[in-house]
Amino acid sequence: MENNEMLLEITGLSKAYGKKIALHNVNLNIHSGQIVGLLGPNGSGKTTLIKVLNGLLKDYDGDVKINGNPIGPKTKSIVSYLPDEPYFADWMHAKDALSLFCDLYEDFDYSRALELMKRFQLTEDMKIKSMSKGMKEKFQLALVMSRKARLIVLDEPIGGVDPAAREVILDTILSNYREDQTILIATHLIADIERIFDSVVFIKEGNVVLDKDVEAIRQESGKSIDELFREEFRC
Amino acid sequence: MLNHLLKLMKYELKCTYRSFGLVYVVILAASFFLTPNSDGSQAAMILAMIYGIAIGTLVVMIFVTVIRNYYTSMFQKQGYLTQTLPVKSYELISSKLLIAYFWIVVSVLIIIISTFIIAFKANNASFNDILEVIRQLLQATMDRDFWLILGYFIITPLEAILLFYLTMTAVHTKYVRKHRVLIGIALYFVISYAVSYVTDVILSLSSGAFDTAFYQSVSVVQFRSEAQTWMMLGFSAVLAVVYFIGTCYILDHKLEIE
Repeated sequence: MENNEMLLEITGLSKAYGKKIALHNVNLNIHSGQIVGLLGPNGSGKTTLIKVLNGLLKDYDGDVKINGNPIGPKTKSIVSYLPDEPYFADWMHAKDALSLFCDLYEDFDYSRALELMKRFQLTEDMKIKSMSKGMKEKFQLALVMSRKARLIVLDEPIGGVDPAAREVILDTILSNYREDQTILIATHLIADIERIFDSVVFIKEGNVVLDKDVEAIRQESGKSIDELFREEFRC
Repeated sequence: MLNHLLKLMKYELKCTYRSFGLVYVVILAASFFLTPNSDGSQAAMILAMIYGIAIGTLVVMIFVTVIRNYYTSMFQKQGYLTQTLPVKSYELISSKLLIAYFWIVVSVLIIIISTFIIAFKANNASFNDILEVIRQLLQATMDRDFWLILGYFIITPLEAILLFYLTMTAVHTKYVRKHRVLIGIALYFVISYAVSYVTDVILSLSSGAFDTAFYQSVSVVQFRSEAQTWMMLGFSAVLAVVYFIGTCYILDHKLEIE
């Protein structure tokens, strides 16, 4: 459910890696309280956009504001980010990562993280190095969804996991989502995930080609998001 | 700010202590068991070799740990966590710098303590002898040269570490797309060469400033070298600040994590 507060404002965002244009004049406004799908094939610019939002890419043209603030420590304190690969150091146990999140994020809910870990059959004493890829991703998701962040950014949360795990992850996202939160999910696996979107943004070769409410799309075109995606990005 | 800094330092310590703990134990244990006046038995020689290798390992480890820890935690996969923490870039850099310096200080102390242990055993020193050495060390702090040397021990490693940080950070911008490690190493040597050239220029210019009758009437060699030494120390401090600000600027405005 959308409310009127503008959470994310992107104006004229462009980013190039040498001669390769990753983002070209992206304009995007996302309100609070939505689940937004950022959809596009590999190399379309989804991850570049996400990195800009999280402060991992600094040298770009255009203006990006989250909750009225430019990207920096203030925005990082209200953005919870799940990258497409695990990011913990090998020396860490799960409890070290929990402790880090507790210390540095004021909105982190420790007991919720433990609940989610229990659901994923993970324990605090587990060494992160000894976890499988799927376990690491679930652990990261547990940490990210345990923050009461205004904006949750998930980069390919179901990529690289089996179909059963995908359902668990999607259910975790939905069951831990609060109505005042915005979730931005970047993915190219549309069919599995479109049921949870309020709106979608199609991004193609660095350009936003569609930014619309999901219900409006279905009513206007009579197609599912997955069908529309395949049409738009047909090779 | 201090709260964030202390928390970041806590994680830096947790990340790095494993690298050093075992080597410290080996060095101290070897120094206790080494008998300098031994009859050259094989066991004594092996122990001496272990001690020497441990010291060498420690020196190498300091460099490797400082550089590798910064590089992996800031620019590899862990960078996705580090660089998205809600902290300012100067807090991040300060935490890494202070813990790196902490390990340098602890390592030097461990080497000094182990050397003293061996020396005292060699001379069959008593407890009173140990107290006398401590007394002489404390008396040395009254000497002006002591503070100059201490200044060098504080500022020079900080400057060196910060130059590593600056060059490693500078290659994670849009200006360097390939061969980051090689370019980073080259950049390090270029900056080091430039700094040593400027240092030589400053030294030669400052030598002229002391060619007056007044300075010639005092112990010229001592006074001139001391004043220049303080000047060089000040120059090192300025460089350290420049490297720190440069690193933070790149992190805030030019960073690219791939």
